[in-house]
Amino acid sequence: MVHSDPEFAKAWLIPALPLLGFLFNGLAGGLVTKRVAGAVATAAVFGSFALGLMLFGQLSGDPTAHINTLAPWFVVPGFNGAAPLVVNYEILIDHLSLLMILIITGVGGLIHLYSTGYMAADKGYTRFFSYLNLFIFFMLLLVMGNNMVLMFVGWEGVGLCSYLLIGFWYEKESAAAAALKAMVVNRIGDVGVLIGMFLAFWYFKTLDFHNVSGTGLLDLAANSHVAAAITATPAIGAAVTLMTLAIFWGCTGKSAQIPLYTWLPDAMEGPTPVSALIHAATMVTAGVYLVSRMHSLFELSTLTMTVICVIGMATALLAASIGLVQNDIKRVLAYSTCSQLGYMFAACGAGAFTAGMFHVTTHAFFKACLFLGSGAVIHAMEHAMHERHETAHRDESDAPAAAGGPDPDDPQDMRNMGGLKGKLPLTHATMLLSTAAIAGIPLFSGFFSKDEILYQVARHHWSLWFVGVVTAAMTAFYMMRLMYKTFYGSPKSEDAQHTHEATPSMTLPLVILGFLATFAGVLALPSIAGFPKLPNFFEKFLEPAAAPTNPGTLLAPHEPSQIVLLAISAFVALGGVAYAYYAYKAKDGRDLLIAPEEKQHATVYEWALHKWYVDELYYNITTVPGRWIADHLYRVFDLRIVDGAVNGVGWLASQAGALFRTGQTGYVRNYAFTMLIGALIVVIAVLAGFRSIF
Amino acid sequence: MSEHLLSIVTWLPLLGGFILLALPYESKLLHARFALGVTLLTLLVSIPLLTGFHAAIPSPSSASSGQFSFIETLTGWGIPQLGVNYILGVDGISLLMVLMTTAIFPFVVGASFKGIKDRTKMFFFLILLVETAILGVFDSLNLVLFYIFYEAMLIPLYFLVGVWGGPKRIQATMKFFLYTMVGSMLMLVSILYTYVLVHTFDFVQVQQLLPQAFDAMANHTGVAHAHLVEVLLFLGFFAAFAVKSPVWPLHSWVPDAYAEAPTGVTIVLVALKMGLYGFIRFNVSLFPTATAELAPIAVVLGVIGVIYAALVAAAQTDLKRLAAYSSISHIGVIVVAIFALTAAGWTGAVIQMVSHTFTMGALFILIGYLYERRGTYDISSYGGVWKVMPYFSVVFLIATLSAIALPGTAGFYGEFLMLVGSFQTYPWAAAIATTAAIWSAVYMLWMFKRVMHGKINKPEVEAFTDLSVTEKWALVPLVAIILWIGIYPIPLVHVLNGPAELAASTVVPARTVPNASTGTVLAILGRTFIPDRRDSRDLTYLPYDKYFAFTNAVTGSKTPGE
Repeated sequence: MVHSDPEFAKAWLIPALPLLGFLFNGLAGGLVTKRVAGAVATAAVFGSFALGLMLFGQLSGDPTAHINTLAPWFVVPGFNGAAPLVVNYEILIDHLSLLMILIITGVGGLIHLYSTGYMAADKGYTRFFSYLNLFIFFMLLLVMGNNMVLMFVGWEGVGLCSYLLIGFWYEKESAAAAALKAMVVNRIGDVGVLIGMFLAFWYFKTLDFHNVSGTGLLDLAANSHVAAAITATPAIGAAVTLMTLAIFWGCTGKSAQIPLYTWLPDAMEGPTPVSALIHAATMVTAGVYLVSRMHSLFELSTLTMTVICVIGMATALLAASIGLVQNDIKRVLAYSTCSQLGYMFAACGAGAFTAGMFHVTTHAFFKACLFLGSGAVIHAMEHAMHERHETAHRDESDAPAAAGGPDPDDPQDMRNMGGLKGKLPLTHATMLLSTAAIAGIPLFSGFFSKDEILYQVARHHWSLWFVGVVTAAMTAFYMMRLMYKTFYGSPKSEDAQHTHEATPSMTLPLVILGFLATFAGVLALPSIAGFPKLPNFFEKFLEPAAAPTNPGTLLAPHEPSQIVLLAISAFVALGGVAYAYYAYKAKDGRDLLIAPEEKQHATVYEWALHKWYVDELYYNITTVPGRWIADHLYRVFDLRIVDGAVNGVGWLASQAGALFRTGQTGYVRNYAFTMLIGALIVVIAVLAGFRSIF
Repeated sequence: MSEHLLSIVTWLPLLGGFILLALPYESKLLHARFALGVTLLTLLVSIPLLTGFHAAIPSPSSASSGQFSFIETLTGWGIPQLGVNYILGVDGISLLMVLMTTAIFPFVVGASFKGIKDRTKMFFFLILLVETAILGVFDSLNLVLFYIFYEAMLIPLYFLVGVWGGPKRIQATMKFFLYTMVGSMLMLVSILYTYVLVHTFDFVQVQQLLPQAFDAMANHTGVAHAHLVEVLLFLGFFAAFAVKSPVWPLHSWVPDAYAEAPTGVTIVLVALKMGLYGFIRFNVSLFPTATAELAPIAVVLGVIGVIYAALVAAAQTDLKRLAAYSSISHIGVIVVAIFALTAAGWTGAVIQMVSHTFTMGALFILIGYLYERRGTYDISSYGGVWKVMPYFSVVFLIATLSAIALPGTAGFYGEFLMLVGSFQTYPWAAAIATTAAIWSAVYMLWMFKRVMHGKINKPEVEAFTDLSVTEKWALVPLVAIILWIGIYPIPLVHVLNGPAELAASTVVPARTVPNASTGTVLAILGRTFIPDRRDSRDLTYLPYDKYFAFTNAVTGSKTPGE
């Protein structure tokens, strides 16, 4: 049950520290050295992490959820049958929010540390760290808020920080455009969350997740009578479905799922630590968090759960198919993130929220490591290119723009890389471990988290499992492709030969994350029927918060043989990696379908390379007609019709004035005559009984 | 002193204006500084209204003052035989309107320091005159007095736009003037006919006597006739306020007037919330039956306004016109919330009226700063401004975020309450209005991108200097207000709905779920759950029952589960 606990007032310090860090760097950042600015920002996040660990110690073994209220925020009395609206600044500390706090501040702190090295030469250093701290603050608010409104503050707040950080290099046209796209697409999703909130308030009369009187949204949703009421009253059942679908619509925006995923790959315009923190480890998992947080509500609608599962698997497959052929190292990782998020949603849709959250955790480790590693690679490439420019005095316009080939000045294009293994040994080693994890190589963390998901969806329908396995094969393939093109084979450009390993501030986070990516699997070992029961710390930890409350309402499960599924996944992962390795080795890291004569027959390749033309489709069905409508509404309707009518009335008035002016003769006799006529009309009107009006 | 507080606040600007007229003609900076001093003094004097509001709450039984406090009457003034008297008073809504006005006017004067170069004495006199008129509109409790202030506001504005405005100022002024005049003529007819019905212009008495008058009329000449009269009276007021608000499709004076007026006057136009205020004060609370019947039409007009103005805003190439259409779009949501007739919607609407004034005010000030540097409002003449004006850009960003209702800014608080409230009576309208979150992000951030982001490719922009120290400090209070309303506006909500603790404590115990039957839970999910009525002391803050008098029977059935 839920307790209001003054003792947990100190938990407010967890979001407060990054907020203070933001204020410090935002207000006084210009006055201190870069070193101080970076140190303050990093210390703020690690401070929150330490507090999080303290709470962890306090809460271990305590299944109770604790809430702490700071102040009222919205207070409107109920009137005329409407419910009163009370929303407080209130945090919820339970195992789910604690897990997220630890991921956000732990991985976030490492990424802050990494950024002190990565951004060292940037002019906007303090601006970067103030945004980063602000992001951590909003993200913590998102996971700690005890009502949908406070959660939404964090939800939109992280969107804002994402906008600011994608557009961090605002002078770049493409970065500004990507930032705008991210914000608008996220807003499209956020409307869903808002409408979900309105529906929740309409039906449940509250926006609190939990409260002490047991009437929070989730308390009510977990009440067995509510489930009964929903089956008894189709209108309420439909409303719950609509509510959860609306909220999930918001999740597809924030967590880059079909149909709102298109902003995420473009978001790679931001600095790489941002991609690691926001667009891989934390913000994009907010949707998974929200579904898990509100799982007792989602479980009430079988339709919503099915939609989540199917959308998740479809996104996993679609994004992986695009990731197979991208040449930009960060874009491969971006599509991979979409794809992995799809797995997490599929798990949630299958009712396995713990499995989804476990994949959130392992993904935070291995994907952050991969992004930071790619950042180290890009950093090294950039430096090499920079040096070349210095010595050769070449400017960008001299670059030969080979048709279809890589831009030799693009530090992110894998076609310029190759053979970096010897130059960046530590980066290579950590990325290799993380690749093994994401590919699902047995005993690495991703193996356990992904296979739990595959097992859970297999319990519902074999086709979902099949898609998941195909996606797993693709994942193994494109990750090995990325590794090969980057680190193995011969260097594809001169710059690739002149790269150097990064500073310890950058490599230390890589090593820690690589370690976690490798071994985090021990937290949740699978228990397979017929084998000795293995400890699953993770499931036990999250059980009070994320175990299904109404299992009866979920899709009817059946029990496939888990050991067979495990074996198939292991085979697929190893096979995918091995195939990619040898196939690329045979071509020295060049793409399998790159020769022009082969390309002609490779429509599928072209389509995948162009992201199945979804961006173009969206552009043509939204932006193009939107601009047309806006323009015509303004130039035709507003200026000609609305304003034209007014001007027409004005014109009529002036014409009438001109007409009546002829009556202004200046002769008293004419006026007297007019007056007489008027008086007569009044008298007749009164006599005729118009009085009754007055 | 305190019994004359409202009069002092109302007339102080005009008094200052007369003193201003006596100052020497040449000393232009002195005119501006003096006017700033007067507006700041007015703000200072008006603060006790907020701090003393709770102590001044009248007992519910004092019928003579209704829900109003700080009542002030001047005996021996007016025409008692006709019920024309000098009576001022405020309730929570008008109090916030008064404070909003006194708080925005220092910015109005401040924004005119640089831009107004000739005939400064007349300019600032007119500004002070218009402040008195606006304050009078919000605190007068007599229909004739209200009408005098309402019309008096028009004359200085006519000259302010017509003399100091941009190149197309004459056309804009004429349109503004004619539009408003037609509306207020219809309102005058309604006011006069209301007098015919109740034989007084005193607002509190009108509010009390009007239902009886309609009843008597229904008995005398039939229900249909009484109903027709009420609807016509409603429409007379509605026409005036719809023009002023503006409600779609009566908005076309707004882009012209906003765009042509000098920055300071544009902010005055933004702060003219008497249209929306009038809907609440007159339409809803005097003609509840007509309101219940016509509210759906008003809601539809509001929703059309939200979407229409947002789309048209996206097509603008002029910064001021873009902001003007964005303003119309926001007003649409407020119209929806007012006519959706819910407590949450109204709280949100009033808060949003305040925050909209400050948000749009800040935007227009910032756009004015750009204009001072570049001499044009054309969006394509800018680009990459962030690089040369970082401080300016951060403030511009905050104002933009408030305009797109980002949580934590003023724009969100009001908008969220309005939508969550309206959703309970007009779910579809509220859902459509919610999409404003998308449209506003599209046109505002697209504008932001075109002005602030990208490379500087114009030498004029390269030469921009960031804000001066004075300009920086002038913006600090605006940013503070935007964040304060976004984060902790409880003192303001408190004025509307009573102390937070009281409101919260009266509602929570009613909501316990007994572990009883499915029927009980259904009762909680469904309509049958009605919260305890709050005690009468609270109701004196914002007496929804006084406003929504007859509407229960008509709109009351729209809740789930039935």
